Formats: sequence, structure tokens, C-alpha cells
Amino acid sequence: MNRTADVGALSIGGLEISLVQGGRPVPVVTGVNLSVNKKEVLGLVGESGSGKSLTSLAATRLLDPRVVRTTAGSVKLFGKELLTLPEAEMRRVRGKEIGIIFQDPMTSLDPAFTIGYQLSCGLRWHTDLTRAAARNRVLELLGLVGIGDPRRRVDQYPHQLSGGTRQRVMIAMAIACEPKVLIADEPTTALDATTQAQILELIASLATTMEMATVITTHDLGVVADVCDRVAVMYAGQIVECATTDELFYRPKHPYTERLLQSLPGVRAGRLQGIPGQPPRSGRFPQGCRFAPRCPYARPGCSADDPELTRLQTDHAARCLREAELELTGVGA
Amino acid sequence: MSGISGRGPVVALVGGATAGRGAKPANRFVQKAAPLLRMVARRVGIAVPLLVLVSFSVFAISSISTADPARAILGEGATPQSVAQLRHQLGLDQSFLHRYWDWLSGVAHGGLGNSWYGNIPVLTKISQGLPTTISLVLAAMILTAVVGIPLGLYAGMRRGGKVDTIANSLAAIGLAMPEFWVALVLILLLSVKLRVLPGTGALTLSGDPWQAARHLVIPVVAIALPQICALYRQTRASAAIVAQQDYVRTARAGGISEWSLLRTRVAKNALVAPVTLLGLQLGRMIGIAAVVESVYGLHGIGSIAVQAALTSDLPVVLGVVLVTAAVVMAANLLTDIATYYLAPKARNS
Amino acid sequence: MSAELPLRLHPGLGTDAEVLTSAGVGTWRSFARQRLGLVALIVLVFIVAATLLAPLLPLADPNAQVLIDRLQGPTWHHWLGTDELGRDELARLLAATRISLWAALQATVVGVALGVPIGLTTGLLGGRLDGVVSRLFDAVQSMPALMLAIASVAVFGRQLTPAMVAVGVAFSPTFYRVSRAAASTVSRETYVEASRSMGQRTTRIVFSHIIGNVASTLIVQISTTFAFGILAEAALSYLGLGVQPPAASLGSMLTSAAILLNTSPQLTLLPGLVIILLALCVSQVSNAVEYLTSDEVGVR
Repeated sequence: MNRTADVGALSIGGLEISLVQGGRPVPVVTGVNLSVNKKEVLGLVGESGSGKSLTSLAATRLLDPRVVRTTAGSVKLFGKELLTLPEAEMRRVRGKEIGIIFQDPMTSLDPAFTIGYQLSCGLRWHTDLTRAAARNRVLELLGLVGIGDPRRRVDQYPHQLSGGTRQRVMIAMAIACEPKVLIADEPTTALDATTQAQILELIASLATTMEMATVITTHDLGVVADVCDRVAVMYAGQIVECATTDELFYRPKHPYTERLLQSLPGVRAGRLQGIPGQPPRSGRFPQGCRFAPRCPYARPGCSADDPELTRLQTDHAARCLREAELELTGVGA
Repeated sequence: MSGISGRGPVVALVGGATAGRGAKPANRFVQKAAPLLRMVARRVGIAVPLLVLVSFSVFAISSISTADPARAILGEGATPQSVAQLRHQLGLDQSFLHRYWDWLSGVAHGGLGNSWYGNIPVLTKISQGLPTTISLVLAAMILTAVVGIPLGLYAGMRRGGKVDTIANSLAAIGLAMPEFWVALVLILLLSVKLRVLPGTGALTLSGDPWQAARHLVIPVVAIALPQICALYRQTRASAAIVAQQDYVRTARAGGISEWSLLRTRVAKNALVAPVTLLGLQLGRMIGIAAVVESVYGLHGIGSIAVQAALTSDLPVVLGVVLVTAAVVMAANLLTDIATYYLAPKARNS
Repeated sequence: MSAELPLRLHPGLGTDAEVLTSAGVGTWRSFARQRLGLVALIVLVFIVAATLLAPLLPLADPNAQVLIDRLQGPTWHHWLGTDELGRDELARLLAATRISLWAALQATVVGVALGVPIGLTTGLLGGRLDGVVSRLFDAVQSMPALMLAIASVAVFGRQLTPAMVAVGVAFSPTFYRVSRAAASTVSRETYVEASRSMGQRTTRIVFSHIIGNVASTLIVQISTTFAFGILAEAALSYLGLGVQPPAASLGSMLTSAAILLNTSPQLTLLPGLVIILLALCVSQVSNAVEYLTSDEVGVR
């Protein structure tokens, strides 16, 4: 309805995701608020188990309800609630309005079908293109994602392609129906460094030219620095900080973000800092601030009170009780 | 105006495209089929010596057997002279290598030797039983595939669901049932108590097809039941693995419906193992058919083999064993061809 | 067939999911599976004990014919009634079960004794020998077990043992393939290569590794073969190709019972149900073993 920019192409509010254990839901992601606008690239950063992939996939409702459920909150696509949408309508959203790129191009493509078939499958499902027209569109898409010699590639099987090419195919599949939202779940984790950069560049340029709202989840802040406009940092199922990329890198407001930045290679010459301690196991979060047990700045009060995600500036929010007193170091400072 | 002027080039374009495509696929087909043809040739090349080997083993084992077929044929009361005479007649007094060579040259001339009873050619006997066995086994195969595969795919996709739970329990019980006992119970229920189907009796395939079909129901169901259960379990296991694969999620993310997903992606990926099993099941079914045919009084190659075994008519048994082995090998070849199409990744190896 | 896969959050949901999956979904299902296997095992042990102890039990002689008492229903003296010759059905069932179990054991032992040692050898040595022997087992595999058993009757006459040996031979390719695969995997491991190049005697290490690799698959395969052995024996004896009177197996009891299908269906149903119970219990135990030994994440 309201399609103005401030609504956001994709907006997630108060999202809670729970793991179903013995019939009882245990929350593993809580109170996540996010919004992505047209042409904007949002980075969702966190360690394994932080809930970033769950959050991004909840929007597509691709999680197995026998194991994991969205227990509260809303996910809106241009104001349309997705979580309560009937499955049949949700299918029209998937692939058509939301395109998804998965982590591992080695396993995410079907070994039994040619890439041409796999690409045209979604196209023909969502549009009324004829077989021939779909094939032409597939050739066009393969060119668009930078695959050379599309006419030969289109009839090949995934095992005949390199990792980078496969990920390009995945991207082509995600954008086939010109979706308004693109979700990329760790799109470069399985690739080598050179290919990583090319793939990220491709995603970023497609996001701009096709005017998509893009979410990239990653555990690699380097990925974020290259292509994201805004970054949300997740820890133990919560967003702990959210800011524009520059803000976050130069003026982090959460100790966890600071630690992440410090552990980037090349930030502190010769010294790669890890974060001591282990993240809490999903669903077994500590009292008060969830990062407190690993936080170098933690005070006794930190484990008592649950900090709110507080808006500090127009486009910077952090979840830390001591945010005002701490002087945290960013990159290059 | 624009419509007319616009049509010309489009037609030309389409025409050009089809012409191009018409020329290419022929080439491509040959190119694509080459490894398949190589595989077929290799398999046939292996099958022939294997069948020779099988027949040789049977001859070799029969030669070390202490049982005397001539005595078995003539009965306990036969005189030594008549036994010796029969042994000579049957060629049993010659070395087994000599006998084997005779038999093998017979095979080269398109025969499988003669029965020790009445000198009837083995091939004639087998061909009398073939129509019955073929219709039994073929019908049982179709029933097995039609029930086992879709049910397995569905249950594998929805593990822990109602269909899955019920079908699993039934499959476990079904696998434990002896086929001939199932036939007996079905006869008791459907033919003796309810009188809806004919009981035992010879089947005439040339007669009324409806009557023939009614005759086939009980034996076919009895043969198929455990095989359905086995195929269901295999398909379910494969489908469950496929349902967990990343590429299925990718397809889902494209908005494809579960039904379409099951029918295309899951089916093609999950069918390799079940199709292989189905090939093996053909052999098992021929063996089981031997028992069920005997229960139901049908004249198939199985019951011919059983009769021959009871009377020590070795040439007939050997013939049936070889025909069965050849059929099983052919089925395995078909299985491999199916796998070639189902699993493109395995083609190069 | 295959072990139960664990439910995953979603296929390969990246690293996030794997942390979550260890939460142990489907615990009660795994418990149910094991409990079923345990019950099946107890039932099996009970049946085996009963058949072995049958001569000591206060039961009638399974072969004693009392024609006056024929085709009786259950009575105090004959718990399961009598057959067409007035023999005690329970005593006969126990005697028959013992013969059936013994026959199934014969087939299984032959299958293992033929398939496992040869498979281990060719798997370790590889090369041309491996190729030739594998083709030979392919040839054996192309002959259905029952067909091979029928052929053995033609050669050796109506005896149960050669027929069950034939069934075992027909099943040996499975044992061969399983053992060969395990041995060939282990032989390619680096430490074997290393110790071989240093000229050490590795037989012992190698075999202990192979056994570790193949044990659970073999147990499953053994129980499958045993279950099939029970069914095969029943079929062969039913046809009169196996056990010969007066001895009775579960299959041969059905031969005489089938004639009386109209009037005394219980004589057909009882041995059949015992066969089903035996085969079912064996397969449930096998399932439980397979389930316990599978190392999929989250299964246990």
C-alpha cells in the first residue's frame, strides 16, 4: 500500500524464531527489527549460530516447521505481511518477488538437470513465457551474470562448471524473474578469494541496476566493507548494532563490533585478535546482556539488565548499557 | 499493417532456428549416445562369458554329485542293466567335459538340449511356460513400481507424517511375509470365503482376457507384496536423502510447488537406487514366481523348473536357470541405461 | 535399508543451522526404534530357547499320531489343537521352527563364509584378480536364490541342506561386495600405504580397521540374509524340495495344511504367522543395530 521509501522494500519487525524441541519452542532469534530499501545493500553480520541465516531465510518461509518456527513478529514486503500469507500465495512471492542466493553453489544446484532447465523452471513457473522464449531469456540471464559462451553452458550440468560459474548460475536463477528483494545467504563463503570479489561486485551492481533491496548475510566483515550500504551485526540471536557501513567501521558503538573489527586481518598490524570465549549455545542465552560473559568492558550490572537496541543517531543503533561511557576503537582510528 | 510487416522476419527467424536445430540434434544425439552404446556393448560382452560360466558350473557340480539321475528317473526298483542303458542313452557315461561340449555346441545351434523325459527339447518346454511367467512377473513388476515408488517418494519427502508412519509399519510386516503363504491366505479370503476371484487353476492366456486377468490377480499380488515393501523402503530412503539436499531448497526458493518438486526434481534424483533395486527384483520375482505358480497351479517356467527338479531332469532345470540369468542380466543392463539418464554426473565414469 | 536421517533445520542451512541441529530432534523416535528392536530381540531369544528346550517341555511328541484326536481346536491337552493326523500343533510348530532356524543359519553361514574372506582379499589386493572375482560374483548375483536352490535339488536330490547352501551361495555376492568395499577403502588409507612402503607386516592393523569399518553393515546384512533364509526354507519345503517327512519345517507344515484350507484354515495361518513373527523380529533387530551404529548428526 504505502510504497514510500521509509516503509522499506523488506521490513522485519520484532521477529522471534524458535527451535522446536520436544514440542516446546525455544527462542533462538529474538526481537529482530530490520528494514531494507530499494537499491540498498544491507549486510547481516555474525558468527555461526548468531541467527543471521535464520533471520534472512525466515523472510522466505523456507524453514522446516517441524524443526524451526517463526514464533512472533512480522515480515513485510512493501507493506504486505508475508508470515501469515497462505502457502500458495507465498509460492508466488518466492522466486518472483524475493530472489535467494544460497551459500554453497556446489550443492545448491541440482546435479540431475541442465542449468538451462533449472533456470527456465522458475521462469516458466512464474511467467507465461513459452519454452523457446524462456530459453532466450535464460541465455540473456547467463550473459547478464557474466558467463561466457551461454549457448554452450546452457545445456551443461552443474558438475561441468567451476565453483564461480555455478555461483553465477545461482545468481542468474535468483534474479530470473526480476525480484524486488534479493537475499544472499553467505554467497561467497564457499569460493576462493579472487572469485569472492567478482561475485560480490556482481551482486552489488545487479542490486543497483535492477533496483533491488538486497540482504547479504556473512561472517566476514570484509565482504560488508566492499559492497554494503548498511550493516546489522547479530550476536546470540539479537541485533547488537546497526549502522551505515562507514559509521560502523569508523565509530563502532558495541564492544562486540569492536572485537570483530579488531579481528579483521590487517587492522592491527601483524596481530590478529580473536574473541576469547565461545558464543552461547542457541536458546541458552545468559541473563542480561548476552555478550557480557565475553565482553572486556563488562561490569556487574551488565549481567543484570537486558539492554535495549537504542537509536543513537538517525542511522546508528546499538545494544549496550555502557554505550555512552565507552570509547571504542574503529578501523583506521 | 504493422502486424503483416512484422510477421515476415519473425517467421524467417523461427524457420532458421528450427532448421539449425534440426541439423544439430542428430549430431548431438550420436555424440551423446556414444558412451551409452559403449556401455551396452561392454555389458553384453561380459554377459556372454558369464552365462557360459554359469552353465559350466552347473555341469561341473552335477558331475561331482553322488546322486545318479538315471536311477532317480527309473526309480528304486530298476535293474542295474536298465540303469546302465539309460546312462548310456543320456550320455551320462561320458566325461562331463565331453557332455558339456556337446551341450555347448547344441546352444551354438540354438537349442538348450533335450529333457531326460520324453526327449522333448528344453526350449519347447520353456517356451510353453514363458507366457504365464512373463505375464505374472511383468504385472507384478508394474504393480510394484506403481505402488512402491510414488508411495516411497511421498513418504520420504514427508518423513514422520501419517502416510510415512503407517506405510513403514506395513512395509516391515509385508517384507516378513512368505509370498506363497500370502497366496494361500488370499485364496482363503477372496476365493473360498468371498468367492470374488477364482481359486487355483490353470491359466489359459488365449481364452477370455477378463478371466485370464482375474486368474492373475492373486498370484500377482502375492508376488508383488514383499517387493512393493522393499521398493517402498528403498525409494523412501533415497527420497529422504534427496529432500535434505540443498538443491531441493533452491528449487523451493524459486517458488515451485511441492507437487511439482516431487514429480520432477526429487523423482529424478531419488530414482537411481530404486530403479537398480527394481532390476534386481525381476530376478527375485522369477524365483518367487516358481513357488507361487506351484501354489496356484499355473504352468510357468518356475513350476516347470520345480517339476524338473523333483524328477532330477537336469537339462530342463539348467535351461530355466540360464534363461533366468539372461533375463536378469538384460534387466541389469536396462537398469544401467536408466541410471545413465537419471544421473548425468555418473556418465563419465 | 538405510538409517533414519536426522531432521535438519533445513537442507544445508549453512553454518548457523549445524549448531542448532545438535539439539537432538526426534529423540523419542530413536528411543521407540531401539525399544522395538529390544522387544524383537527378547522375542527371538524366547523363541530360540523354546525350540531348543522343546524336548524337555511337557509336550506331546511332535510326530506322535493320535488319529482319534485329529483336527481338534485348542484344548487343555493341545494348546493350539491338533493337525490332520492328530499330532500336537504346538509341539510340531516348535520342532518345525527349530528346523527352519537351523536352515536359515546354514544359508547365512555359507553366504558369510564365501563372501567375506574373498571380498576382504580382493579388496586389499585389488588389480586384475579383483576384476575377475568381482565378475564371478556378478554372475552368481544374476541367479535368483530360489532358482539356484531348485537347481541344487535337481543335482543333489530332495535335501534341505544343499538347497540352503545354494541359497547361501546366491546371497554371497552381497557379503562379497560389502567386505570388498570396506577392505579397498582401508587399503587406500595413508597409514596402510606408509607402513606397506616401510615393509612392515600390516595384516593385523589392517584387519582390525576393516572389521571396524564393516561390522555394522555386516550385522545388518547377516540379519537380512537370515530373515530371507527363513522365507526361502519355507518356500522350498512347501514345494517338497526341502525337508522330508516325518520331519517338519514351517514350510512343509503348510503343504499338508493347504489341502485343508477350506475346513481348517488355522493350520495354514499358524505356521505362516510364526514365519512372519520370526522374519519381522530379525529385521527389527537389524534396524535397531543399523540405527544405533549410524553416525549421522543428531541421530543419537
